[in-house]
Amino acid sequence: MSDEIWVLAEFVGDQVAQASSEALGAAKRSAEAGGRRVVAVVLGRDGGDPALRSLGAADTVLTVQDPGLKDFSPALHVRVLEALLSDRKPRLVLMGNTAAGLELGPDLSARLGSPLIAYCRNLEFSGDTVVGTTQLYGGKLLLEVETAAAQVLAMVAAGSFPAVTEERDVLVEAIASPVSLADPETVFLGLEVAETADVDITQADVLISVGRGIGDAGNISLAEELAEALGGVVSASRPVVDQGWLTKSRQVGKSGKTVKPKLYLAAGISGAPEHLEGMRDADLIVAINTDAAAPIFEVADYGVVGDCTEILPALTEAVSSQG
Amino acid sequence: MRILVLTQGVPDLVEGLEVASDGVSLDQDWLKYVLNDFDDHALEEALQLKADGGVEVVAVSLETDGSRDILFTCLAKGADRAVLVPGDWFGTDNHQKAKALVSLVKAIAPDLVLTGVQAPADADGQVGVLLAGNLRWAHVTTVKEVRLAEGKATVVKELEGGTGARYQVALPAVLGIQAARVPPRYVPVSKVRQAMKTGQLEEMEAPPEGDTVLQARKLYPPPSGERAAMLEGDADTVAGELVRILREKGIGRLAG
Amino acid sequence: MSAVKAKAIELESAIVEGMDIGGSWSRMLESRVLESYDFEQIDRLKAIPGAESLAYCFQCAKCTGVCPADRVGDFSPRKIFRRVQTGTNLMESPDLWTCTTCINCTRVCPKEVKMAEIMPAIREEAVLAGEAPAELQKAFADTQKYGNPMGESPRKRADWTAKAGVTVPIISKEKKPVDLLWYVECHYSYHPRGKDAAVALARVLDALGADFAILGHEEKCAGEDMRLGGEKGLFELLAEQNVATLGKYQFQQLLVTDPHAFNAFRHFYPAYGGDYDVVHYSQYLAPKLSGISFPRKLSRRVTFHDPCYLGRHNGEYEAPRQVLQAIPGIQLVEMERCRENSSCCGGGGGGMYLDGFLANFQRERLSEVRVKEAVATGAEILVVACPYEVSRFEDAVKSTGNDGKLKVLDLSEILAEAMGLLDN
Repeated sequence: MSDEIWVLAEFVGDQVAQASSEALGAAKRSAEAGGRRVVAVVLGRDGGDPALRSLGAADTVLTVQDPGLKDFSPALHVRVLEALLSDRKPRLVLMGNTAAGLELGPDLSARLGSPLIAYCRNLEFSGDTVVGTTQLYGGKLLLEVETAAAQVLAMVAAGSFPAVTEERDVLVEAIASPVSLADPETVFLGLEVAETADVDITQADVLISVGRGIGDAGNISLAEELAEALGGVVSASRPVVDQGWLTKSRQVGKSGKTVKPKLYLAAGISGAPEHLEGMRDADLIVAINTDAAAPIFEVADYGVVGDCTEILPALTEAVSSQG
Repeated sequence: MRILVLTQGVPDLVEGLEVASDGVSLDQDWLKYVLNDFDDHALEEALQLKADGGVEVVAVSLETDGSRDILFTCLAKGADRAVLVPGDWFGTDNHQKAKALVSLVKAIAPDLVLTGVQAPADADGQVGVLLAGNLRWAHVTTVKEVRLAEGKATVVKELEGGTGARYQVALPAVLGIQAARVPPRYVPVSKVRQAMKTGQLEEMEAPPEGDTVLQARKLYPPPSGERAAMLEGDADTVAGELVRILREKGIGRLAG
Repeated sequence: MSAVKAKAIELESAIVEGMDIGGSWSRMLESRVLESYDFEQIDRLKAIPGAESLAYCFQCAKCTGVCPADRVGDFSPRKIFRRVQTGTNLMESPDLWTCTTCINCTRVCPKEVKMAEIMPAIREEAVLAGEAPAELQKAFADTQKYGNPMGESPRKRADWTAKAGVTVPIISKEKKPVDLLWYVECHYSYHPRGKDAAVALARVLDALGADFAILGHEEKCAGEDMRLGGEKGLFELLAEQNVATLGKYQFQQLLVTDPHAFNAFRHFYPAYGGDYDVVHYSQYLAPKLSGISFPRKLSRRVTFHDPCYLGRHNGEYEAPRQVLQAIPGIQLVEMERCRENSSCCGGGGGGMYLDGFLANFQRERLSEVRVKEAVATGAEILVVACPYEVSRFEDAVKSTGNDGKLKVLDLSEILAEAMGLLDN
């Protein structure tokens, strides 16, 4: 059985992505406990690429040098990784539960017959068995699972493991693509130009953020009034944006913006993991929700069980009366 | 062009979820199944493509409580065919579902499979990409827009932070839909009932395949050690208390 | 609001029923231009079963004087008829969603133009075409999924009873017939202020020694707003489900708290096999209070808002007033518009789920207009007998700057207060 733990590394520009640093954190923990080696796997970068220095937390780096892999293509990346994983048989393969990870994890798992732990919150070896914890039902429940399979894949949920970053000259193994990259089934065409935003929620000190619990579009004015009274801006969770009640530029969370305001007031937001990812680092989090079991209360500093359409106006009034 | 929309009934999160006495599964007593929200977006995107022209939409659902209602709702919204996959799918994992669906998908022979990017309990991975892996088909997930032209799909994949990446995808392919280009439509009950009277549900067998790959050890609510300090009282009391806290922390206009 | 104006057809002369009305035959009149309208729009609407009477309008404008929506915007049945006559497509106009079906217009209409029949009929076509405002569609979707328009958990429907402090029996657990089956309805079950009123009524019923029970989580929305909002299929589905549920149990009377549900049960459920002895809680309470000794005197000046669906739709004006007058110390003062001419709170006919939509077309909310009238009477308390109104009016008290001047209480709350039942 191989003693390698692989981390499929992603970059933002020339820096390792936060999700990959956290996956490296998870990998190092498992490696230290069992005398295993951590290999960061990079697709599409040259062996001499200085960006690889940001993967110093790994023991070694394996990079597939073909420039055709630099832009993420689900089909090509799966092709290459399927070949590498079958050939080198790493014991554990970790990746972020990211837009790219969601393409790679399930497909590789189906092709290789290696079990996959999605939304992985915790991971450890118990002898030869891998024990992982996955997050279900929007974070309302956790499921602990085990598998004795020879190779296990895991998509690591954001914020579950400490990010480990180290800048150093790390030993790099640079190889050519083990498979042909001809005729890809998915071809990257380019990035969309972002919509011009009416407001930049990432710059706001105070965010009054509304979720499904706000009830209807008409009630968003309740949040706007409070935001105005406090000197803040209204943001939202995904369902509110999907309903077309607020623009995409105001969305907080995995597929929206990551924010770090002084106050994040979550009104009627239950706190799905994808949302928490975008706001858990706010200085002060206040949550209002009718469901006392809502996961948002796990990350909030202060919580109120109640209807936000009642509490927001009361709060606006209380703030306004402070003169 | 034929689009298969794969839908699942999933436990409604509005209800409190409780762990069954076996300690590893959900208590089914109070479970109510509703169409997975993301699958509703997948259906909507398929119907948008149908409106663009030349597309047949086939809705498929693995049987759960409520899956017949889900399929009739798909028909009422504009799907051309609805296929029920009979069986008790509660407790089967996504690997088993995806394997089982391979022959069914081949039989329906769609050019494109659309399904929700995720469901509430994807412990072993999301069913759409798992299906693509089993079929060895192309896939793109976290998709927010699909266009069809010249036997190919052009899609916008949503990346972290909401940036869109455009991909050209060879068909057949599986797409995991994050959000349709418009919010899913509401279908009046009378249309659903009309569909129940006049519409046909086809049944196609696809028994679960393979063993569960991950052994469940324990299902439990997250530890509530570091929960928020809860404020109690009526709206005005709570508001007063919050203002005191915000003042103390020097938030916004309450600073200084 | 793309009101395409119909092109008038100009005629030099016209013969109507054999008579030349062109005017040239009359020495009194110069020859004149006559106008004729394109009847396509009105013909289309009056062909919808239920909407026929819209075409009866002869523009007398009596409705405009009493229509609450005209007070805050530009809307009355006469105005809609005229707009349709001149080419407005009502299906695409916000006018279609403005009417609260309060039927003050029908009360004064010499032609029996029946808005409470016209609106649901025409709205149904819009709903089927997917053109209802999103807020209303969300209420439909939630009611379809959860049996209540707030999207709350069905299993939590009876959670309010935990605070009642008295036993509120669930009929499925009673396994015996009861005198009163109390149909609590959604806003009493889930809205925080509705729950306060439900608790108060439970205590009153308990104190009166009533033999009652509720359906608990088996109860679903009665569906009246869905019917009036144009989602007839959903109303039918709910009616069938509720009739089936009620059919399992034995009871003498169906005690209904929500006047909208009361209206549905009285007039529309019989068609689905649900024929009950239906009583509004004010009607149940009024005759029961003569023998009661009230532990306290409530020396308060109060005014009462007649709910449209209790008053105009069902002719009950006295029962709630009798309840108030039974309370020692209460001084009841009437608002300028009361009883038959009571002014709508804006919540009926789907209005509860259109506040955001209508805010674009109205200067203020109907509830704000009404609260100002209540304040003008000098009353300290505005008493209501419909679960929509406590929250609507409380919001309006705040938004009109009358906080502290006027309290809003449900009839059951003020009664429970006087009976000394709200002390814990």
